[in-house]
Amino acid sequence: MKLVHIAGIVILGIAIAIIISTYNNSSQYVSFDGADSLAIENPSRSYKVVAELNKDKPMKYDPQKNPNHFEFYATDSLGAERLVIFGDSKPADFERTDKLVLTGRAEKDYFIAEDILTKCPSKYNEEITSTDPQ
Amino acid sequence: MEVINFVGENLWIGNLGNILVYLATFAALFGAIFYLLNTKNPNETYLGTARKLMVVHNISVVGIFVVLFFIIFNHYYEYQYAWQHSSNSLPVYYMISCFWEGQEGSFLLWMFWHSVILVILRFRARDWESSTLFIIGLAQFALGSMLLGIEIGSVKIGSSPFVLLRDFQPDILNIPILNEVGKENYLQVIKDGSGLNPLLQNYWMVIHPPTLFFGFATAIVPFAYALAGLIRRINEGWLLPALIWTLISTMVLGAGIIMGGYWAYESLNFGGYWAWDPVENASLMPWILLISAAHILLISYYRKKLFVLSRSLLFFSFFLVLYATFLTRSGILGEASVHAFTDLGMSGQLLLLLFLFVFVTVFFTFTKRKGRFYFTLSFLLMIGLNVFSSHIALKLIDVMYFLVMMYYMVANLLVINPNPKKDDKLTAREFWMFSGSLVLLLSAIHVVFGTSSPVLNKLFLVDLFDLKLSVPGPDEFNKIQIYFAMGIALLSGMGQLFRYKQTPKAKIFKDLTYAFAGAIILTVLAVVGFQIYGATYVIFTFFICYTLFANGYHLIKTFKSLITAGASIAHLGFGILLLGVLVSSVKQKVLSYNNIGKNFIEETDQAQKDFNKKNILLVKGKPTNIDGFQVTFQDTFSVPPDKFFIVNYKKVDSTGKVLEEFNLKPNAQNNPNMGLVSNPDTKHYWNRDIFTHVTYESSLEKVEDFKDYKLDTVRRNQAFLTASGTKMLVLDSIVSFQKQNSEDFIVKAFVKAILLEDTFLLSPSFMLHSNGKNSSIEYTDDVSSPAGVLLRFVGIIPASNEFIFTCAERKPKMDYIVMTAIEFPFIRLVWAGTVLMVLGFFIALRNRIRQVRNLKEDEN
Repeated sequence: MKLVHIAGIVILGIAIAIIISTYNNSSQYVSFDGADSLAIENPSRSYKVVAELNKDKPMKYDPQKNPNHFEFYATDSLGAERLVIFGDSKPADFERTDKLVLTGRAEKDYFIAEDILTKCPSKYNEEITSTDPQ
Repeated sequence: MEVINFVGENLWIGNLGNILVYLATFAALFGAIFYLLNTKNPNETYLGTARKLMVVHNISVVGIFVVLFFIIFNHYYEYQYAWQHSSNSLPVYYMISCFWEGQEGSFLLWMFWHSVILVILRFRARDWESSTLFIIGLAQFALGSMLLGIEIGSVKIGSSPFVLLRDFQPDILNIPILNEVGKENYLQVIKDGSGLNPLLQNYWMVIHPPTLFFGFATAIVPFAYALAGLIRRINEGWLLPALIWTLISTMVLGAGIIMGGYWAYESLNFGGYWAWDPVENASLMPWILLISAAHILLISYYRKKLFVLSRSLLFFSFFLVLYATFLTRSGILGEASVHAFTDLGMSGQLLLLLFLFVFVTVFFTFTKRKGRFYFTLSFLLMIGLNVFSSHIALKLIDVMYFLVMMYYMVANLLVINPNPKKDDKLTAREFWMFSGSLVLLLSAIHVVFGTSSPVLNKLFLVDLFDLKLSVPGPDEFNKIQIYFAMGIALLSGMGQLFRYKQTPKAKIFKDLTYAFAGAIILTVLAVVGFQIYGATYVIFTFFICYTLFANGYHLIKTFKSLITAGASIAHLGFGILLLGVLVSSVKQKVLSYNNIGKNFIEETDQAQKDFNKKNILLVKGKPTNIDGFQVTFQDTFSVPPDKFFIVNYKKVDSTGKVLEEFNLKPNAQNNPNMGLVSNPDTKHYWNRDIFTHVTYESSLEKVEDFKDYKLDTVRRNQAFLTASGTKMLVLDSIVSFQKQNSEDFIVKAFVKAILLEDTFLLSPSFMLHSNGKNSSIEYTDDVSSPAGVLLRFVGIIPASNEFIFTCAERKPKMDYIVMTAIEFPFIRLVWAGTVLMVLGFFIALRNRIRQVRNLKEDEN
């Protein structure tokens, strides 16, 4: 057996191990209910939930009390609604987002977000009436 | 259907643009065909025709560029591209940035760089001209087809940059105001574009994308040489030019990637230069593979072996460039990346582009006609099946088919270049270079698979296992990549000490002893100096110190002239870069650490504690202590469209003496399309940076109305309360005076409002306006936002020397900002290391070009 062959086998082995471990460790996309049931199995692991901001319910951010606490309600694709608590400042232009990707975990009756990815409506769908009619 | 004659449109220029797109695309296709014919049967007519077609192609590409720029420059908003990506107020020097905001412009830029390469190779490649330009011509055809913008039934081929606004968004003709002016006059209404993304209005964003695209574009050249060598059945002649272009590509792509990182660090708010975002990874993966390929090419060139690996790595590098394009342009990363994506519905065409080149590559690895025939047949069958069905079983067959295709590719290459019988010796340089390249390969595999989870989700994970995986986060990437970085650091310090083929044992023993001894001393200094704790980090520091010392030692010991020192310098740069990455991330410190407020999150470990506390509130004018500094939010000023916040940093000793003072001016732009876009400001010391970023400000809060009006009659120095009883008001004094050159008489009161420990002064007044017999009274109320009090001076009762006021209140609203401050120690090592590494690539490149010249002189 030659060195190149041994190297090849070792590389293949490591590569497969890395790929499996990467996919094992990367968080899954789940629904709010899914996050609830998974939190029972492993409370410290985080998941991703794609949700929509519930614009009818109030958002709470009072930086004079705590600049690192922001609360809002979000609804996932299955229609489940949760109170989401984000331990950071209110993301810029939050009211305008139409889609949120929340990373975090379920806790009792709310969802703790470690990270929020906000997706604003695409410029393509923008209201043309916003153009200045001068 | 009614026919409308639209007024004021400049249709000729768009038509010209579209004609040029067709011309460029098909000239490239036929040029490529003639170049291929000339490769098979060299013939003056074929070559002449191919060259002429390529001239037509290049002129057309430049023409498209000029036409699109002309449209943007002249604000022809009847064109979607100009309307969407520019505006009247956009400065000329940012107009070029419009090209890379849109997908069509990006493809155009890529084509432009390919055209530049076409011209260079036309005059420089000599006998490789036909075979390499065949491949680049094919790429130009594929890219050009992305700009065609034709629809056949429901199939859309390409997206034209010259599409009209009213064709792209027919709704525009239905906006209410057009009922008055008439639909044909819609351009009288559309007077301005929707503007360029403010994040792109930055000088780094003028040079970063073209650099990155040039790096991407150059990756096709080593690929073309490797494939051309296969087509022409030439084993070695392609190695040196392929090496040169690999070095160009790694140099430019490396510079482009780090420019993006520098820009992100200086003007984005995530607090760092690298976030392992899928879009960043997309440019990183071909880069790592190209570096790996450069090392294997050197082994192939000097030791005449590992040809299969050389070729495969270059093939895969280019596949990764196309795959990266698919990832970033198909919209598949929508839920995984912070970048904004516009899905033009061309993911099918992007995949075809990728598989066209996979097909061409695998096709030419078959040496026999029969193999090529069956392969082509099977490939067309697979394409056909995929066009008509997207069944889950078919997707699994696709994956299998791809793996079989890759197996045949490597197996066929092994038939052409069987492995040599003899093994490398451990004392040979090539053994260490080979090992290092394999570690790079593993690192790239990790990045590729990590970034590919959205693709796997779509392929079969969701359908088969009801599982949807995310792209790993930064921590998950770092956790694994740190071990590759260790391996690369160690091995990049090894190879240099050895010679090709074999190294005398005594020499290597001596060198290794010195290198390790030096590395240990350096490690002790670094660990103590930077205060690095934790076994993993200390070991990593050792490997970094090893490569620094070994390469430095080698450089000094063997230094003859700069031109041969490229490798050592690049390795040194890489070591410094790694040190910078290690220290600036491990020793990074949140200065604005804040314990105010109730913490909802149960503090289970340190990570949980850090999360949730990095923002601090600064009330205007009120100094606040953060780690090591007294910071004060002093004021704001505007330079439209930006609003700047002046944050004063002061270092004060125990006696109150100011040791150091500076102002940082982070800003925010309230953009109508993007919302609030904020930019950080950073104080640079020689050994650390203080990064400051405003995340929220008081003017974003809604203002309440005043309520609970209350009337009071008071004497001087008498206190009275607001309706809620939370604020105490004290009348301090009254002044009255006559307005200059008028009969008007003004009475002004000075009232103190006391809220907790703070006192605010209000001065409401009224004016007695007498005009002959008629007299009127005019009130000027005063408002204190931070106290939340409105006060009106209503009148005076002279008899009892009493004064009447009306007060109202609302929630106190202070001027404040919410801010994050982070210290990045020794981040300059990251930039310095990169510059040195790029310089090393450049020197190595010069050396190889010199080598080619010497070879040519020998031939002559």
